[in-house]
Formats: sequence, structure tokens, C-alpha cells
Amino acid sequence: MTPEDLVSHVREATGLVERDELTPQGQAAVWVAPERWLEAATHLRTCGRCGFDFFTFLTAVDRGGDRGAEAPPPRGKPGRAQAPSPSVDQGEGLEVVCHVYAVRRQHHLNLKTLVPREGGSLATLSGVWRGANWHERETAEMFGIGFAGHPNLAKLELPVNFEGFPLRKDFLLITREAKEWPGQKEPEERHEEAKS
Amino acid sequence: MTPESRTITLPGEPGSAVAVTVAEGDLATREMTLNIGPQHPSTHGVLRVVITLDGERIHTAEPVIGYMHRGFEKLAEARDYRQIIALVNRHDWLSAFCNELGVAIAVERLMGLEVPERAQWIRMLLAEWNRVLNHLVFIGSYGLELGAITPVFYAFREREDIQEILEAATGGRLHFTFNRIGGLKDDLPKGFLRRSAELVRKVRNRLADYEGLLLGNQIFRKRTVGVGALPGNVAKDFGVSGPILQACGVAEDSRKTEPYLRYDQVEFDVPVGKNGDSFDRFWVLFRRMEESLRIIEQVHDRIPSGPVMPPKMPKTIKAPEGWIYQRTENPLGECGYYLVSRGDKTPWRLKMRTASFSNVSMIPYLLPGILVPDMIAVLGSVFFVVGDVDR
Amino acid sequence: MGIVDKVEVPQPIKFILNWGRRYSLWVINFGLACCAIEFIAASTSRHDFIRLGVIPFAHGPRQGDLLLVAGTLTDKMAPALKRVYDQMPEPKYVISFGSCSNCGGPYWDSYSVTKGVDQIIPVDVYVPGCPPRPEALLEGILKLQKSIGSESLKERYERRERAPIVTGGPIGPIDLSAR
Repeated sequence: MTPEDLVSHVREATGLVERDELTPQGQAAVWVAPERWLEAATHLRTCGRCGFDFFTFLTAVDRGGDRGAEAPPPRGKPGRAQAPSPSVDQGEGLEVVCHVYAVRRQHHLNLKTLVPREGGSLATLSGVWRGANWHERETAEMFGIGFAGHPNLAKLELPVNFEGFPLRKDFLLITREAKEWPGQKEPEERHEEAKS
Repeated sequence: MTPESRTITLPGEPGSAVAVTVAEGDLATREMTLNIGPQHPSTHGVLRVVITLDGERIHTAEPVIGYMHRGFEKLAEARDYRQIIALVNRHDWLSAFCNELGVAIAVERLMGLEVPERAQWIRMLLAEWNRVLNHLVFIGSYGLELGAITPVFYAFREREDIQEILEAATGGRLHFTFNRIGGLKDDLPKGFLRRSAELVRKVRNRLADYEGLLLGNQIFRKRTVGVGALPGNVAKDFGVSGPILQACGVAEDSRKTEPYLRYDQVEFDVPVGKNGDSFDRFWVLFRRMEESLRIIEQVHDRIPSGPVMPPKMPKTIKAPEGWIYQRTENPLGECGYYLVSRGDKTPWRLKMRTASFSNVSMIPYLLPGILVPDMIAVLGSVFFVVGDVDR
Repeated sequence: MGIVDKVEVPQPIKFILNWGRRYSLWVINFGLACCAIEFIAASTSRHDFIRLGVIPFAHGPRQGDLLLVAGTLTDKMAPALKRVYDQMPEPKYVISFGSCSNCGGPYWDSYSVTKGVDQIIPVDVYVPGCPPRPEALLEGILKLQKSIGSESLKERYERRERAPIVTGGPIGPIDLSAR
């Protein structure tokens, strides 16, 4: 199915879609409420017309957002929280993305939702797609999102005594804060330095 | 009539004594936990697998990963797109060019950049050579794990020849950093296509030898046929892709279903195995290498002349706002980049969906029930590179 | 351990003992990342470090002389490296292969990478590169062999006694100075 048909089918069949996104490159995403996460995913798995049997990935994106608009990040520093821009971001917190693929029908879909930064929790999808198990573990340790019902939410990649959630925007790379990136500067930066 | 059974307590370390019910005439056994790795000659890098054994049979297997976790996704947020190309060719270090390709194509699609024709064809050529390089390592090292020492020397001999021409073109033996957003760093050197054509003939002859050496060997067959069979629907559930999925009978290849570069203009087949066991996975590797050589020959014939970078490039590369998921058929499977951009020089979020992560996640499903020697055969046939698993 | 570590042996004997040690180094391949591939390439037929006397596939840390750390060392892996190093008997040498094990390399700002193997174990030769060419490894081995050739075992063990490497184990710290 084309992305538009797919999105309208999911909207009609589940009634859970809050809004959808269709990018200029032809990729589709549907947003659902966090409470209906498992229901939406189960439909995608079991519905014959969707047929999403291949689990691609599950991850989260830190929206930033509760700080005011700041200047663009200086070179080499990770982008800090910026003011949400209307086209892409609506709401702040952690955006959870689950991308699935249907092998026979050859279509993709991104299932998205928004959870709050502190104490955010979703139902686990490891009963729906077995591959979600490890992806959820990684998302949990990197962002601090809980997955209710997950068989084993232990740390996957980080050492057991690691503190903090690395992929959140407020987790700073200490070495970068301590010293400036030693490489050569961009032409315009060098020009500016020469002027000042 | 139920046999008489009694309960005895097996001693252990303090606090770990266990009560076991033993049927009449049976031996009292308890499970043993065996830790394999992280530093172990037979795992491809620092993968640790904790298995519980009942005698020689594996009861549960739990991979412990993270020994190569370098924080790529966080580092990508602090680097601009040109630096990211140098960064991402290091997670799957055996297929460096293909990794860079994914990021470059993702940013180009977001920016709407038109990549010149010649650059697309050269990219395809180098990506396919990289695929052959990658598969050669697995063929060589699998032989080593099963006890055959010669194939690794043969495989690395081929790798040296191929790395020589790739080094002549890109300057690197392992990490090429040859892609740029918009095309390539430079054109191919003079005489490259002629050398490449000679090398295709040479590698094709040798591949036939290696196939006879490995796949025709009775010991190899006895150790791999029927071992570690994976059903296709389970593989898809886990997100397993690439040669493992193709060996299970699913003909899923991103180059066919969503052609990128100019894969829709060359002819090649997707090899499909029957049983999904270790033998089939290696059979698929050999077929994939042959198809890659076929693609390379077609590129030789059809490569156009022209520039390799667009004529007018912006001074700083800024991807416009939005998100994209770009997947490529890496030698190990589906490697995808989910790129979220907020209009900066650096991405807001770059999620690397790596093939090895999903391939390794199905080890807890695949290993239980098989014997320890078979475990070596199975672990070697699950194609992963630890840097790809941990990123 | 005998008289070799207590007495400065005369030159002809010292030459022979050093010659024996420098040309039969059993290497433990602590290959972690991409540099391990170049290490394997250096051990195969085109570059072949066996002809220099460095023999691959040591049967374990207890039977190895040379520890070659190739690749990125993460904080999670560091205890394993220390344990392997501690299991090796003296005299032992370490080559740090590649920029990740030299100083953290391209991951200098990562939250989970140990910025250089020499934070944990003493290194004899650093081979720079990302990844270094196999020829660079051969040169590193030659440099190491040269330094072993002029080494005095008495000084080596005296240095260890002055600054013992205290290792932790199940029975507590083992003080190497008391022998």
C-alpha cells in the first residue's frame, strides 16, 4: 500500500491515530497515545492488510523543549534543548518511535508516541514482536523510560553501575565540556576569529 | 508405573545448595553456568555469552553485550555530517563503505541533493567490493572456529588483493571515509577499472576453490547441516536480516525492494536457502559474493563519465528539519539510520539500526537445546560484528 | 627466580638471554575492534609477523609473553583486560595497537571509553594509526625487540619491587614485592 493508504487504513481500522506525518520523502508515521501503544502495535501485527511481521527498531528521541529558545549550539557541542519548532515538534518529553516493516507487502510504518520525561512508561512490545525485547532494554537504559511487562529490563550495553541516561539532552559529554575540540575550525569561524 | 524418585541435596558454595529430584537409576546432576568470553578466541570480538548447561546440552543462553559500547549515537550528536561519515564507518568495521553510504544517502535525501550519475555508479562498485571483503572474513574465520586453519589464510589473501585496489582508490584499507554528502571525495584513479576487472576474474576462480574446500568438506557438512536451524517467521520477528534471513527462505533484500544508488539498473539475484541452518547461511554467503561480482562487472561496462560531486555545494552542510529512515543492504543485513534533524550542522538524533544487534538478539532463541560443540558452529554462523551490536 | 633478576649478568650471557626472549614472543591477541582485523591481516601470509618470531595463538594468558591490545577499550571491558594482564607471567610486554588503545582515539569524548590502555596497564610500544597498517605493526614489533635486546632483567624486577603492581584477587591484594 502507498503510505497515504496505509495511514488512512490504520486510522480507520484502529481509531487510535491522533495525528499522522507524511514526509516529502514518502515515509509515514502515526502518533498514538501512550496508553494505547500496545493496542496499536497489536493491530499492526495481526491485521492481514498491514502484515507488519518484521521488527526494525524501537528507540526514543529527546524532544528537549522545556527550556526557552537558545542560540544555536556552538561547534562541537551536542545540540541542547531548543524551542520546539512548529513543523516537527509538538509537545515536549521523550518521543518513542517504533519502526516496523511488512516483508510481503513491502511497506514501512513508524509508530510514535510521546511520554513524559520523568516516570514515562509504556507497555512492552516484546509479546508482539520478539525483537522488541532488546530494543526496549536499550531505550530504557539510554533514556530512562519504563516498559511495563518486560521480562528482563536489566542494563544491556552500559556497565551495571553506570549512572545517568546518556542519550538525554541534559547528559553532557564531559570531555567536550572540559576541553575544546582540538581540530581545525570552519573557514567562517577562522575568519571571525581573525576579525576579532 | 512411575519410577521411584528421591530428593537429594547437591552441595555447592555456601547458600547455593540445590535440591534435586532424581528418578530411579538416573544420575543426580545440576546445571552448570559457563561463561564464554568476553575475551575468547572463538567469538568474533568481545561478545560474552552466559550459558547454563545440563551436561553438554545448553539450557539457556544469554548474551551480555556492551563491551564495545562507544556511544556512537551520542557522539553523532556532537559531530557535523562530514565528521559523522568518518565516525559511522567504524561500527561495522568490516563493511565501512556501506555504513557511510547509509548516512550520506539519508542526508542527501533530506536535503534533496542530486548526486551525479558517476558517483552513484562508483559508490555501487565500491559497496559491492566491500561486500565481498566482508563475506571473506566470515568464511575464513568460520573455518578457523571449526578447526580448519587454511581457509583464513586464503580468505585474507583475497582480502589483501581487494584492499590493495580499494586503497589505491580511497586511501584506506579498512576505514575508507570516501563518501561525502553529495557524492564522493574524489574520482577513481586511472587504470582502476582495468585492475578491478582483472581482480573480478581472479576472485571468481578462487571463490570456486574455497567453496569446494569448505562447503564440500565432509567434516564441515556434518558440523553445519541441520545445526542451528532458524524458522523464517521467527527471524522476521526478531528483525534478523541479510544473509541469515535469506538462508531461512525469505528473499528480502533492500537492494531489490527499495533500490538505492542504481541497483534497479543492474541485474542480480537474491539467493535463498532452504532450511535456515548454518550450512545454508554459508551457502548464501558464497552466492551473495558471486552476485556482487556480477554487479561489479556490470558497473564496469556501464559506468558513465562525469563529475563526482554536485557543481554547487553549500559551504556548510545543514540538513533541513525533518526525519528520515534510510536503510541499506549491508553485508551483514539491514543497516538503517533514523536521522532527526532540526536544521543544524549536527543531527538532533541519529539512531543506528544495525544488523548485528538484531542478529545477536535471537541467540537466546537459537542456542537452547543444542550441544556445546554445535554452539561454536552456530555462533560463528550468526553474522555479527561486535562493534555493530554495541555501537 | 634465580640469579638473573638479582645480579647484573655479564654481557655475553645477557645478550643470549635477551636474544632468546626477543625472538620468541608468544602474543595474546587482545583484539577488541577494527584494529584486530589489521592484526589478523598482519599475521596472514602477506605481512606475516611469525617470521619476526612473534607467534600468534598463545594458548592463554598464562603462556603468553606479549599482550597486544588492538582496539577500543571500554570501561566495561577494562577489568577483563586487567585480569588478563595480571595472569601473564613476567617478563611480559604490552603493545598498544591503534589510536583507540593509545589515547581513546576517535572516541575521545565518549562516556564509556577508557581513554588509553595505559591508564590501566603499562605499555611498552604505542603503534599509532586508525587502523595502523600491518607494516606499522611490524615496525612496532621491531622496536620492541630492539628494546628487549638492551634490557636488563635485574633493573626490570627492581623497578617492579620499588613500585609493585598490586593486583586484586579473591584472596585480597597480592604484594609482588615480597618474594
